[in-house]
Amino acid sequence: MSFTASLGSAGSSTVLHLAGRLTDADVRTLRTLVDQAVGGAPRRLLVDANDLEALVPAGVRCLAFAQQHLAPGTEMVIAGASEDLRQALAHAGLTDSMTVVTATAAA
Amino acid sequence: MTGAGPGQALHSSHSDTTSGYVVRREGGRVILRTLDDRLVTVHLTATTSGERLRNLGEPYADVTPRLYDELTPGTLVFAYGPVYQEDEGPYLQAGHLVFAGGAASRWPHERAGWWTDQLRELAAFYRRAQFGERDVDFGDYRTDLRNSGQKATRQVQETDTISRMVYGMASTFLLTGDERALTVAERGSRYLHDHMRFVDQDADVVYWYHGIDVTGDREHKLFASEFGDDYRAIPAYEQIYALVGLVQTYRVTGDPTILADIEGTVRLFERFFHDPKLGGYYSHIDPVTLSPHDESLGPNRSRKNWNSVGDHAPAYLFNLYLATGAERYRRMLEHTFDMIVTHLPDRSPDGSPFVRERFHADWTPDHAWGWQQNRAVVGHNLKIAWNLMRMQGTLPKREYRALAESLGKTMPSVGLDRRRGGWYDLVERIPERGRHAFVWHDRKSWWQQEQAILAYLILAGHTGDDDFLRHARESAAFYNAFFLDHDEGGVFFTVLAQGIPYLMGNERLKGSHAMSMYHKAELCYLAEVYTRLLVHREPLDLHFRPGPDARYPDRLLRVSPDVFPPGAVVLDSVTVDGRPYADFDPTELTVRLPDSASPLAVRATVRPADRRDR
Repeated sequence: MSFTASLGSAGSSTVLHLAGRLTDADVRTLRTLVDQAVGGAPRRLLVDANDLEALVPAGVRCLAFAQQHLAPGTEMVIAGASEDLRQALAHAGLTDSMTVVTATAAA
Repeated sequence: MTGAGPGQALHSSHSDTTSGYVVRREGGRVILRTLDDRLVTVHLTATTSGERLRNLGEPYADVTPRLYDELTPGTLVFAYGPVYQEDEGPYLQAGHLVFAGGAASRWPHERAGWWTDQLRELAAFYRRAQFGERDVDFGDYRTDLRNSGQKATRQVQETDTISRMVYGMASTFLLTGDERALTVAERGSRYLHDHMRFVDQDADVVYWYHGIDVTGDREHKLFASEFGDDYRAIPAYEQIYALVGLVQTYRVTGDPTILADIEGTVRLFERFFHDPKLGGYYSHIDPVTLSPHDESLGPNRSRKNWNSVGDHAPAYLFNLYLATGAERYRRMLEHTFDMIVTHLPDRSPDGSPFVRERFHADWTPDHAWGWQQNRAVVGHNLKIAWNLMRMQGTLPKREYRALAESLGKTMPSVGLDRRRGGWYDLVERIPERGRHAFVWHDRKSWWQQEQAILAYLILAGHTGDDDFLRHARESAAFYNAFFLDHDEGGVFFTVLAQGIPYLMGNERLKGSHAMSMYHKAELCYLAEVYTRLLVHREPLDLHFRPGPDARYPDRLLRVSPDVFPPGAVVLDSVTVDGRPYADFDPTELTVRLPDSASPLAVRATVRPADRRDR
């Protein structure tokens, strides 16, 4: 599935919804949305990764970039992270900086 | 406005420092020969005080009661006091004298152990500032330290400043064997691994966060640089300095985890910063695409600079080569120095004596970048001279030596304060009205003095040129006279031209983005090495602590303290855990490590080669 991303809100959270396979060609799209998300100085940034199938390392760097530009103390949550994404975030040293909620396997 | 009256001379006075060698004393008049070979007269008063140059940790050495006895011909003196403008010229009144040596006895800063003692004091200052009397926990580390060493309010841990502190502590261990220093170095290295490292498994590289803001409950990772020159980019120099402490610690311990991080970062340089077509390394890459050509980089797009090309060698690459003996690192060193001698010297008609520092991708000079424009950092020129001479030790090339000696001979006339001593900071590359104008000020920063001292020590050691040795000694005298903070500890960032500490803005700090424990420790480490081995030809002890899993190529511990020409320095003796140990190669300066279940305490005594070794 090709990559799609959208920005919305839920309560006091800004929600970045990611879906499909993020390739290098899609990184600029993600980066633009990340800039928009952090530019709004959200109280909480929720990255909905439930429908994200895969992402290239540049995608992880986008998330690192997003985390940096949130105000200190602002919570960033990755919801529905696959094991691959969780590992990539761990290798990037980001699991101490954001809450990572892994996807649960379907029953 | 009326003309100057009789009292005008008094009211127009200012205070200044005059540096020179005592020629003679005539009552209260002292004739000095200045560093630029002029004769000046300094006038003592009934209240003139004097002290001998002293090291950090030493008490004030008052010589006021016997000033006349101390003013012996040949002694280098820094005289500070009011200067009155009189019809026949300036009248120099001495308020305070610092006696820096240079007459009959050895220069104080050339005493065996001077620099080692200074490094020990610096290590104690930074350990106390960061951790107090508590156990070493880098969670407590903060980049910004006030003048006294107290932590400032900014709650940031920068990767590079941790690594610079680690460098200082590992170097302290190398010279002293102080286990407390090694503990700081090892825990700092581990903290960098655990908290500052970004592993990109797809690209098989490691890169380093700029730092962490620890204001809140969680680590707030700072990915791209937070600083104006490099904002929102990954600058090469930050990745380079991330390695400075890791490599020095690896030299000591052989820690395989540290080595893996180092190797991953070198792959980052080769894959993403290196220009395989035209050579050199780009100065910045985009934090997301890792491209040096990304539009987001603005004025840093497709640029190379002195730091991105030249800082590899002193910051980590020489030390990595020393620790591993690996040919690939020697080739990388060769490449950086080939780029330096090819592209940095100004060979245009009426070219500047200073190198060019910033370039476009095709190596055409960039004279429009930010604060640099067409300006020269004096210390960069000295750093090039120093490191080219180091490179001569492993891969001699005529071009390397020629540029090093040329810079060594030229810089004193354009970058040195020949009235007071000490080296200036940023000047215009092109002279106007017969001088290279100061860009911001005529102050002097600590790290540029380091470059001068090391450059002239190694130039003197390898050429035997007395002028180079004189510059080394005078530079070291100025540094030791004015940069050591005997009250609070540590070293001042900047002094005014006359040597008074400048304690404003970030320059009042003992820890900051620009200052931690690298340059001052590197100065102590290498000044001790060069002075002992090259100038006074004395032996030197070095300490290592290889672990049971130490990963050195061929399990050989390489103990050469710096890069020297083959056969210049030999390994005289070795002890392991306090007992004599015979399995070493004196000329290769290697120790074949015995198997051990615990870390080994290795002491290596090196000395200059002599007739015994031929």
